[in-house]
Amino acid sequence: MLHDLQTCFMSGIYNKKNAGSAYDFIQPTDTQTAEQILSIYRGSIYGGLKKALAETYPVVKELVGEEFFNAMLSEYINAHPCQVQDLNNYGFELSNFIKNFKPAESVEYLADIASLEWHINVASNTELQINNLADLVNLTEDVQLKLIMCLPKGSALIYSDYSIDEIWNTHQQDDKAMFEIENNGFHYFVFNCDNNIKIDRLSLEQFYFLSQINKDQFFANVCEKTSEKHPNIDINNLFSDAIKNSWLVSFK
Amino acid sequence: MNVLSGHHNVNKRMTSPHHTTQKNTLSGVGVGFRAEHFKYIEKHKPNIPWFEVLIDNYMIDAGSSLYYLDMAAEHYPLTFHGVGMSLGTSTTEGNGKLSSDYLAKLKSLIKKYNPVYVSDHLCWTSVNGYHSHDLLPMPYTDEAIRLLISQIKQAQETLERRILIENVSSYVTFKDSAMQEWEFLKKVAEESDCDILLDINNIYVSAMNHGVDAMAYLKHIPIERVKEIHLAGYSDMGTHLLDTHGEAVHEPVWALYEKALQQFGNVATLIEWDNDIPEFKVLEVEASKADIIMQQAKNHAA
Repeated sequence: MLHDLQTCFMSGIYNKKNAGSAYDFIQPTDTQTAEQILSIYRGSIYGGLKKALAETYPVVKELVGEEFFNAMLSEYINAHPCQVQDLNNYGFELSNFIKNFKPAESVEYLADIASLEWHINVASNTELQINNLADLVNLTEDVQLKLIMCLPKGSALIYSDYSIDEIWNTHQQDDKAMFEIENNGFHYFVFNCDNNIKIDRLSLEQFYFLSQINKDQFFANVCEKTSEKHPNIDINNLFSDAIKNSWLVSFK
Repeated sequence: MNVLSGHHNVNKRMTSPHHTTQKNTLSGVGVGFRAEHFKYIEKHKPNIPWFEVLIDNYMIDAGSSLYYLDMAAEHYPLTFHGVGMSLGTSTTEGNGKLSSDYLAKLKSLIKKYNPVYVSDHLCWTSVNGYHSHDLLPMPYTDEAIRLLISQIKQAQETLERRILIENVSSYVTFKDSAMQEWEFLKKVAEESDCDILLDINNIYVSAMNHGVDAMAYLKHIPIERVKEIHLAGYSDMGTHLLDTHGEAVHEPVWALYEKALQQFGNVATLIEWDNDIPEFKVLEVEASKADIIMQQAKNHAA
């Protein structure tokens, strides 16, 4: 019985159009119907989830305004009821949701900004791992080729048609200067560098190189595939750039 | 006198012998440890006898909040207050199943920070893998009592310590309910042998919403189990009172608090403020008000 009550109540919260079974458990009062009583809880729950999402997606909120943001999130929560215990992990589907959310289609870069903010959230909440790259100098080149290089935990390689790093950076400032949004296609690496979140722009070759490393394969394979794809690139330069910029932090 | 320049009041509170809080004991009026105040607390080390930590926010691998938790633990006694145990969740078999992952994380934090109390709520927050992140009330039935007793015992065994359970605000009466909330709370606490965190604001909000007597509620609570009290602000929505934790404590709640202290003695009390969080000094003023009522209750008892 208790399980039935809880199942119907939760279902009625997240599925307003099909909340009838929840009303069967609720005692209406002289002033409020069962539907009104359930809506108090729906409002409180949706409010809490929206607050959490607003903390994860502050730039998306600022770009569309609070009213639009809240209306969009109501639709999002309807489509993606919360299924995670840690609120930091709620909302990863928002970028994809925005891509198909017609009222937002005039802000063409909004989904990419959401993707960027999600990865910033992930990188911020990921523990830093110990950097052991200094030990590489003790290893011969042959041994190095048999290693698996590691990107920072919680890092992400993302692509956008738009200069979303500039948009994001502008929204971190109180005085928001006007600038022209570029749409030539950009590759980014988002990562936690000593507790500072960095959004680095990458060349096509760097992006490919790091993408191969991210596949958890031997370094020899990474080098071979990168050379095949970009025959004119100097792998040694790519590797040293990756170390210098802290895109690589460890090996195994 | 301008109450907002209340350092004088606060200092007075700290020099009172009644509030010489040790790190492993709790007395006086604490406040919630919230991110909005981290830097202020680190810089000023305000004269607050203890802080309550919303422990779910610290079950993370990294982030600056862990640094500030270390800082707080170094200087103040702490209590851990959780919202994610979902003690009242029933499975399809009618049993409970606490999250072993959640309990393991909580146990690890308890081991590291040694809080004076660990508390959660007499409620459910999730079912069938869906999470509300809100405190949903139980129907007051024998089935729910049996479930909660089993769950609380399991939590206490796993955590190797007693926990406190808190009464939640409610806006709903379930048709299945067969007793008053205070009877439900008393039975659960006594039969699972846990302690009680009595939220005075929640008692007032629920009493007003359901037309029951808040004083009768207090009178039925076992005195020896009440280890902590919560005070917070509600919002009047016209049709009901909503427990928002976004305003100062209201006068009827202060009045009920006074009655509670007369009954339970000077139980450690927390000022909760979780939405539209004001400057820390506003919380200090609220804490000072609670302190004055505590002193009055003490004098009254003498």
